[in-house]
Amino acid sequence: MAKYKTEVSLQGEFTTIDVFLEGIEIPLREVNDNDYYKLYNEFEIINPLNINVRLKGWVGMKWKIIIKVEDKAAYTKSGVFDNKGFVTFTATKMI
Amino acid sequence: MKKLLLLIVITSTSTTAFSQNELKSIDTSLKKIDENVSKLTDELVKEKAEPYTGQSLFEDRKGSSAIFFPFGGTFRLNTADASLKLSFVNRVSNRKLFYGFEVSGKTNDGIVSLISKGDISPGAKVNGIVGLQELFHTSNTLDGWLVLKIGYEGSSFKLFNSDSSFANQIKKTSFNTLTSSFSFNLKSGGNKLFAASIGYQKANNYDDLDDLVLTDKTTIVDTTSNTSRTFEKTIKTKIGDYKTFDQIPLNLDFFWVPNNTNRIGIYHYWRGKITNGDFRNGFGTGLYLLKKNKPLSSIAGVVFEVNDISKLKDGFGKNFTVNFIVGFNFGFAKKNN
Repeated sequence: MAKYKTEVSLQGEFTTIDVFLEGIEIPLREVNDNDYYKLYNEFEIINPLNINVRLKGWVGMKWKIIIKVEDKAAYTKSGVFDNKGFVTFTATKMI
Repeated sequence: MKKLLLLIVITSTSTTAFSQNELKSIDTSLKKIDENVSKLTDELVKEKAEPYTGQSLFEDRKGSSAIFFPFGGTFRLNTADASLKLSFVNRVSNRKLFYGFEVSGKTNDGIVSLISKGDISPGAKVNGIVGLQELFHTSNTLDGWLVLKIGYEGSSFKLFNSDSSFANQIKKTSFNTLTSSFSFNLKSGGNKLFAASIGYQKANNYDDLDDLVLTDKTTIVDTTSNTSRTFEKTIKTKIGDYKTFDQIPLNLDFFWVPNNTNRIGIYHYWRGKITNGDFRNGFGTGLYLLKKNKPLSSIAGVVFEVNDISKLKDGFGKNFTVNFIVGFNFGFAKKNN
């Protein structure tokens, strides 16, 4: 078990944002329009990194999530909301 | 003749060669400058400015709406009530509560008075916002949020009363009120939003009073030169029985995006007002051109409104308004490390 500097950024506009890393919800603040962002300097990761994302938004809205570990992009995923306005996925990533 | 032709060929060739070399040199220099500026920009600004958009543009002629999007901020101009509005919301994804503010300034006399003359009746609104988000957190279809707005509204204007003494015929009047509203927004799927709100505030009948433009003429006589000088001052006022009263505004809004047409938004609203026991209501429908991949930001909209259903019998034209709404975006560069 090691501690890594982990950064999460989420782009888009959402009515619900649930981003979990290793089972812990990441608080994301809107720092600019379409850009939610949070930086953890020390975050414990038990390989592989578990990612759980659940988003609600508006049809046609682009979304993108970028997870950086030690300043390197570890995971990136993007898409566009359909009429359901709902996206959920889980992923694992070896660090 | 041969010498002349030879001279022309040599001159042309050398000029062309020189020009090409010089142009190549200038082109190379410009490319280097461009590269250096790009490097400098990358060093100084981590991310380029993004348009700053997102707050509700879905409003009626008076700027009222039960719809409230808890995102970012916006700066918008409403041509119907000649208002400018700045809003901002601070929201963190794992906190139920969010908060923000709205500030708007307007003239009571419409946008034409802003452009044509400096003689305006100014008004201002300030709202504090507290909201509760993710009401249907476990649902994959529904989403909802509650918003409480408490604020202050003030305006200043002139009233004319011909029965008063000459010095008191024009009375400068101020109108101030605390405002409050409570709204519920319900999103269904990715393309339907229903909102309802109720509020309380003081209101006045300024809009119902008749416009009056007065002209004060003053003549100054200089006895030394025996010259008279005349100047005029134009004053915009209202005439009629000015009243203030308590008001409970009720708003219902429904915004939807038809399937497979992500660039068109349709907005229906109903407005009810309970004023001293008297009930009035109107409705409207708006059509918006939405931004590509930013469907909650509109490029422009046109709204058709019936202001008061009970007055329709007086003539459709008197109670029918067409309102154009245009959103202006602003951006800023940020430096995140």
